[in-house]
Amino acid sequence: MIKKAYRVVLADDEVHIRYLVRSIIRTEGYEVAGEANNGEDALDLYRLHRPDLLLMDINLPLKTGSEVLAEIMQEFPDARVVMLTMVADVDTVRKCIDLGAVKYILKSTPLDDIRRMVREAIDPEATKGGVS
Amino acid sequence: MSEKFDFRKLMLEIVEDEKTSKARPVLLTQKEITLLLQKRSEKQTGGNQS
Amino acid sequence: MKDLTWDDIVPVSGLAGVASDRVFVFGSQGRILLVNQAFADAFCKGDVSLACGQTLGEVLNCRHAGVCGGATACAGCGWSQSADACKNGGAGASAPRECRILTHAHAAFDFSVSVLPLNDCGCGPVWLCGLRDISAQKRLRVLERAFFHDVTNLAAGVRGLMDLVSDAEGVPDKEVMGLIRENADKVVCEIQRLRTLRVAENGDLELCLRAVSPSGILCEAVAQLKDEADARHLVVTVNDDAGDVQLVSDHEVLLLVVGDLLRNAIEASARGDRVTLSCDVENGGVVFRVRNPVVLSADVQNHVFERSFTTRGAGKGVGSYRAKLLGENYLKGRLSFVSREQDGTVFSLALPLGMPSPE
Repeated sequence: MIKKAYRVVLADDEVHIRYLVRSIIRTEGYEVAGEANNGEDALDLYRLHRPDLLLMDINLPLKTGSEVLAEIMQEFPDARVVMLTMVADVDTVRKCIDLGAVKYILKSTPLDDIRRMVREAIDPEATKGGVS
Repeated sequence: MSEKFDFRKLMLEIVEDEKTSKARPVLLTQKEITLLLQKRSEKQTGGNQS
Repeated sequence: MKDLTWDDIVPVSGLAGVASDRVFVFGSQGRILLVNQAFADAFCKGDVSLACGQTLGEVLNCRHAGVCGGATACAGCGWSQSADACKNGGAGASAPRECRILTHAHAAFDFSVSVLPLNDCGCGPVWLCGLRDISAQKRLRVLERAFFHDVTNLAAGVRGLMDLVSDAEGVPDKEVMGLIRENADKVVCEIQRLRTLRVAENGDLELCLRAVSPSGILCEAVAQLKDEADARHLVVTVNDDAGDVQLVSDHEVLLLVVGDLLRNAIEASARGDRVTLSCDVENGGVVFRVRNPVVLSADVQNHVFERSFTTRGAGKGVGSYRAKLLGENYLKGRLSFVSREQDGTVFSLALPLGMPSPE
């Protein structure tokens, strides 16, 4: 059986976080379709590539992750967006969940758990008990 | 009708104000966030996923 | 008209002794009629009569006190708003409002202000004002947010990278190790930046004076903030007209100040804007300038150097205040800004070439 090569766009303004996320994506066998270091570029890349998953920070320059999430979900209701952030206040979390983020992952979470949650987000059917 | 001075009310306002000035955002753990997501998922599917 | 006393303010007669909050009574002109002992101890050297006849702004040495309530800056003042709300027919107490008073000495008071109309005590309409000092909480909160936000972000990244290293077989990737080192350095740097502010506020900052190259400072500041500028697709231009001139200053503190001004300019700029840094020799000293095309609103301009004021989200905002404190109180310079349509916003830090020798 041929495993689908899922395409991921990642958005974070920190170089080391993009490195980390890139590593996670590649070790899972996914393809990095694009990288953005600000919210506007994240939105543009999503529109350009229509990836299987967008992994995005909240605190982005030019446009925040929450704003980008809102726009994407408005334009592409089936979009799969995962927030990967240090922001943990209940209001922001609820807002993103209500907007339709499939996962909300804190950067302080152990790497293995982040990998698992990304797998669940990108293909919940393939993941056993794939409850988001 | 002119408002009579209400010392008790003033103290209550100060206490309320102290809450506001000391208020900190409620921070969630990953576990709590995952639970929130699960609840949303259950609402959307109308029950537990098997 | 009889003189007002606390005994007239029924049932407040016990307030002066009981309340630890600073309270005062004022009349229709906003002038203080009575203060409690806590107020007098805090602002009037213990003398309850000293404040009488003055406005709150005059007592606190507010920089707009000449026209307490009348200056443009007063529109955003919680005390002014509370007093106006009550005087303009509000029968009940005003909701607590925050009041930020910046004094001529660059001290900042942060109060929560509550105003209540009182019984007519035979002296015309009077109001009771309670001041809750929230300066310390605000200060601590601003510091905490900035510190925890930035440092936690960096530390989480470092930990993630360490996990990658421990997962990998063989010799760790050089790129990963480089990133770990870089971010560990940034954590240390963030801690030092905030520590410098706290120490400077306590008056304990000791400068390490030596010959400093203004050109070098410009280049270092730009290099430090390259990622931030790139993320916004900004064009950062350096106009170095200082030549080989050197000034006697503290390199780290000066870099911190110029860095703060540059960071503010970057974060205020829109995508693709041009940010310009320059240094010029003028009037026997050196002037650093940081320019960006965004114009600040009048309200923002009034509060730019305040400690707990920020136009940015939680966790940000001490930069302009820190730049002013360090640039003027320690580096003996003068920090100012101009913001208008034709020029955008230009922050200027004028420094002498030499520093007065400490005794």
